[in-house]
Amino acid sequence: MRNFEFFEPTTVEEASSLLAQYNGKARLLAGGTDLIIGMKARTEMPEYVISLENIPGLDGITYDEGSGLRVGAMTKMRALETDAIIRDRYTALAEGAAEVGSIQIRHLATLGGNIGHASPAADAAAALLVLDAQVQIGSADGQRTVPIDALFTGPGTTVLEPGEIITAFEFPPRPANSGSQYLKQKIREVMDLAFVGVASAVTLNDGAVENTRIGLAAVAPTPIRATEAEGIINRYHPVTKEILEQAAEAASAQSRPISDLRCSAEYRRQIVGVLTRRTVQTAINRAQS
Amino acid sequence: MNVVGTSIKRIDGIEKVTGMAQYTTDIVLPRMIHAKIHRSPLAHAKILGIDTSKAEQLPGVRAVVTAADLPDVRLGILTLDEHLLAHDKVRFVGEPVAAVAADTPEIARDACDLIEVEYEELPALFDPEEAIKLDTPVVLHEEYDEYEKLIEIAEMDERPANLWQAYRIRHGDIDAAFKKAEDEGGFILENRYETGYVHTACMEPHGAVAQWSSDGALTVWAGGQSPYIARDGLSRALNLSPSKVRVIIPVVGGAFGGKLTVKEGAIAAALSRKARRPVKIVLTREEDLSATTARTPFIFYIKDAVGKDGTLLGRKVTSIFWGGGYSGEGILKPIFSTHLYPGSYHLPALWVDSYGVYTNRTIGGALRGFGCAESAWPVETQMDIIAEKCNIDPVELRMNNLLTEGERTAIAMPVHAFSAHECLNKCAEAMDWGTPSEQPGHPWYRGKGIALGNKYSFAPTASSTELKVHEDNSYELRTSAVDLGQGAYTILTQIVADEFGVDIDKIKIVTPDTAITPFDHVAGSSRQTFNTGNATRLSCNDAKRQMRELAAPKLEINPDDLDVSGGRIFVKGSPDRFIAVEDLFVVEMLAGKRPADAEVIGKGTWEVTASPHDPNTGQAEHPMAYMGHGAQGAEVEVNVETGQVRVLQFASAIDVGKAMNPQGVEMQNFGGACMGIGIALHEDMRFDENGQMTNANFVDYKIPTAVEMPLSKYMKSIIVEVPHQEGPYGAKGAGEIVVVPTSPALGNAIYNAVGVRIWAQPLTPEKIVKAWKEKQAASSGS
Ligand SMILES: Cc1cc2nc3c(=O)[nH]c(=O)nc-3n(C[C@H](O)[C@H](O)[C@H](O)COP(=O)(O)OP(=O)(O)OC[C@H]3O[C@@H](n4cnc5c(N)ncnc54)[C@H](O)[C@@H]3O)c2cc1C
Repeated sequence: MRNFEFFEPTTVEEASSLLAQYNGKARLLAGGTDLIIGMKARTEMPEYVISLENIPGLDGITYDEGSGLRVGAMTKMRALETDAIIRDRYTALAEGAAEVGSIQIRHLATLGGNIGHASPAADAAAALLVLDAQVQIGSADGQRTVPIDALFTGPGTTVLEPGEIITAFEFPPRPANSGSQYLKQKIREVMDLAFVGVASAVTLNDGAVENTRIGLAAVAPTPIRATEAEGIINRYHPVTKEILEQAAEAASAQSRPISDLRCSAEYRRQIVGVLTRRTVQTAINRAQS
Repeated sequence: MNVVGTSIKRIDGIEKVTGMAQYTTDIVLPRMIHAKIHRSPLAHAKILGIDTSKAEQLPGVRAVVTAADLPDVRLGILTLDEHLLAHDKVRFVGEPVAAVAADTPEIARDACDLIEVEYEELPALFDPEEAIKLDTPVVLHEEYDEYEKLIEIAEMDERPANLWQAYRIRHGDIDAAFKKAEDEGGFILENRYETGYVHTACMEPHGAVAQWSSDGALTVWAGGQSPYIARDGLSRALNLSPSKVRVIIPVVGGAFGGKLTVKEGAIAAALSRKARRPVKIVLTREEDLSATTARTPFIFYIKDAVGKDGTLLGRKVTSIFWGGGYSGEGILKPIFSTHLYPGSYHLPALWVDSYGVYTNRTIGGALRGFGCAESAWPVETQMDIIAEKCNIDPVELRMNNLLTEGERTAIAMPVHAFSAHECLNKCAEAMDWGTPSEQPGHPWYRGKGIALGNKYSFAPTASSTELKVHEDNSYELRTSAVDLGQGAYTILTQIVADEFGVDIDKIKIVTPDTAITPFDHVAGSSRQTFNTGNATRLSCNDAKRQMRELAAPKLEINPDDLDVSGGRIFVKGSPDRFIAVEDLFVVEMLAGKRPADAEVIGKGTWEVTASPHDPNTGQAEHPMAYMGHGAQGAEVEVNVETGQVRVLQFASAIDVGKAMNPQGVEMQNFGGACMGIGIALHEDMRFDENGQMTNANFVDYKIPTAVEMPLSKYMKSIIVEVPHQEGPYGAKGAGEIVVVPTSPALGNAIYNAVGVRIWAQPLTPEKIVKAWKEKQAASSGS
């Protein structure tokens, strides 16, 4: 690892100013499970590292029936996967968090880091897409909100401007008759990255499926929504095996995977279909129970 | 006191789990600096010039070396074709070209980036089936004919320019066998198989520390498998006489065949000489995976002649071993892999052409099961297919074709301590073989598979040990056998404790150090329990003889009438007439006699001679120290939508002759299953079109985790004990046989579950799902 200068600011404004001042040469440090690996491999060579550790208020989970769920950017994956409300109402997020690396990694890895790193395969990303997350972004100039659909611009890139920091994620309240699931396809059961990740979320209204969201990871330059498939599920009632099959095909067609060393595009597309079918079905079952 | 045969705890267990164990990386010497290697970015190129001036000027850099700083000698195992640092050509991505020693590893790495090498890029050759052609457009070693060679290869009309190994077996009339199969209602089964491109992936990466003394002698600490092979390599690479080189092997964190030579030690030594400081080098995981030796693939074309009733009539194999830029240890693989073509089976005719070729990839080396783990893949898959074709149970089909004790195999070797029947039976029993798997329902399908395997232990070979008896009734074994994690020191401790009838805490192992410990060939080929074990018994006996001679005058009796046990030298039949070991020495020393009289050092050398392998016929009466046997079975669950495979149950029944430490054998069974499952299902070194490895990390090179293993209650370790006449206490080795049947057992289980065969390892979900879809399409189309 190259030498670097280390800062431990105590406010978002201070961190933001440093980040802006050393634009391009500075990196934010959350849990470090992406950044430090990159620095050791020299794919990342920041001259300045700005820790978010000492900024109060960035960590924590709060829930309110009226306003919904708020997760601070520095919240650890382990906290997400073990939180009772998240497991119950935002199940896909708990499942996405639980898929990250190993338990040791999840005690370090943060939600802000997972999303800030902007890997197309990030395990929390698909869940955020289907749970309608709003990304709170802070800087020395103030605060703005970006819907998760509009955050990612490419592998490793987001709409964040120089000096901007993700401070929290906000999720609308989820009624009891809603359900969601995240499934990750990998070669190894643990300590492996997704070659396809799919999250689905639904709400039931008088038995009809509404508000279907399907999020796909690792099958496009950014995590994406499978909007065609969502439309199919919302349109038909009841959701039969055939409808699920149609939605699976639509999701598969909307995915834009590449072939890489993990597997071929063709195989990824097939798995998108399988996981779409399974996650939508499970989301519906969970909403019913 | 029978310590041999009991499950004593590993003697190195506590120091390992508490972090007290000293590995190579733990060694810190005064004024020590750190080395990094500048490696070739190209797969095949001429080196036109190397400019190290910028690197040398970087503050903190203490020395830079290139081939120009080294003697112009070629190294290798049997064909000496490789320079320590690339001489005028590079032949694989990652080949060491230069090296830097600096105050910190980071500075050394920065300096490596400043080394400028001018290359003339040459077309690269990656495909072994291209490489073996006579009219290949690319030749890796233009000067091959001038290289020193310690081995003869089979006669050929014309040697393809990239071929460095050719070995044949000619036994019986193969054409007649095929004819017989066709004429008498049998069949011919012909298939192409490939093994995967895998790495030892040891927990401890390669590393070394080198230090020179003022008299020009070199000491190298390195996690290696043989201090003497390392010493030879170092003395040759640096043009030093062997006595000037001392090799010390600290605690080793796994080797599996990947640490036979210690090239990094030689590079560190060259830097250390120039910098006049001790130098440490530790490879990064990326370097370790991408630039050290790998288990490169074999391609097998196998054609079996089978009688109507499933009797093997003959077998014809052509195999190509996918070598890398240099021949390395791989030079022996095309020979040793052929031991499994007869394997445990009676074969009236066997015809084998086995080749090894150069390509512009990393060097093909050893990995647990040297050649046999590879050739078991085609052989044991064929057996499964034959069973199905003949509608005979796979266990029964194998039983019907097995050799019998004393029979000569198709390579003319009489079989001894033959245990395939018992291994197969016990494995099948543990698997509940007769009962088909319960089916969980679509998309998951379950099935069971079984396979046999063999692992020879090579010969000629030798081991020596020394056993010093101390005046406090403790026993010190000096050995150059290396404990790589397999438990060698524990087994040797048990042997000494048994021979002297004392507790194991009276035994101390003096670990490999060429300045102290006598010759031992190598920790490889499952040979240490067998060979070092025998040498240890001999040195114990020699020490006992000396003790009897020292005690005899005092007890006024003939030495032959004395025995040694439990810290006493006593009169046979009257154990009350004795001298305690402690008194033996004290008395002698106080008497003012020469100290030599007061010291007991037993010496023992165990040697296995061998009849040479005839490269043109493959016939050899005694080509190995012993042949090990084993059977493994797996029950798997396959998801036909995703291709995912779960191993639900695994049974491993291996014959160790005598289980010196049953728990140690169990650990081999489990560890072997784990490694074998990884190799069969997941592990796969990937390369881009330029020959650069693209998954040199543990996220993308997928060794299994505990989660990939069946639950422990479904992991069955079965010990078979058919004693070998030459083994210590009847023992054979256990280290490699445990990964030999694994891949075909899993492949056969997958076939049993979903009816598809994948011919090339690894058996990935993607391949399985593709084969399944093709099968569905074919069956719905017909
Ligand atoms: C062994 C191992 C296994 C892993 N397995 C998985 C896996 O299975 N699935 C998976 O998705 N990931 C995996 N990862 C990657 C990593 O753990 C996750 O992406 C993690 O969530 C990153 O969070 P962090 O807090 O460690 O981020 P850091 O490494 O600290 O930061 C990551 C990036 O995000 C930026 N960043 C951090 N916080 C913010 C913020 N608040 N605002 C803006 N930018 C920010 C940083 O500057 C940096 O560029 C694995 C990593 C390791 C080492």
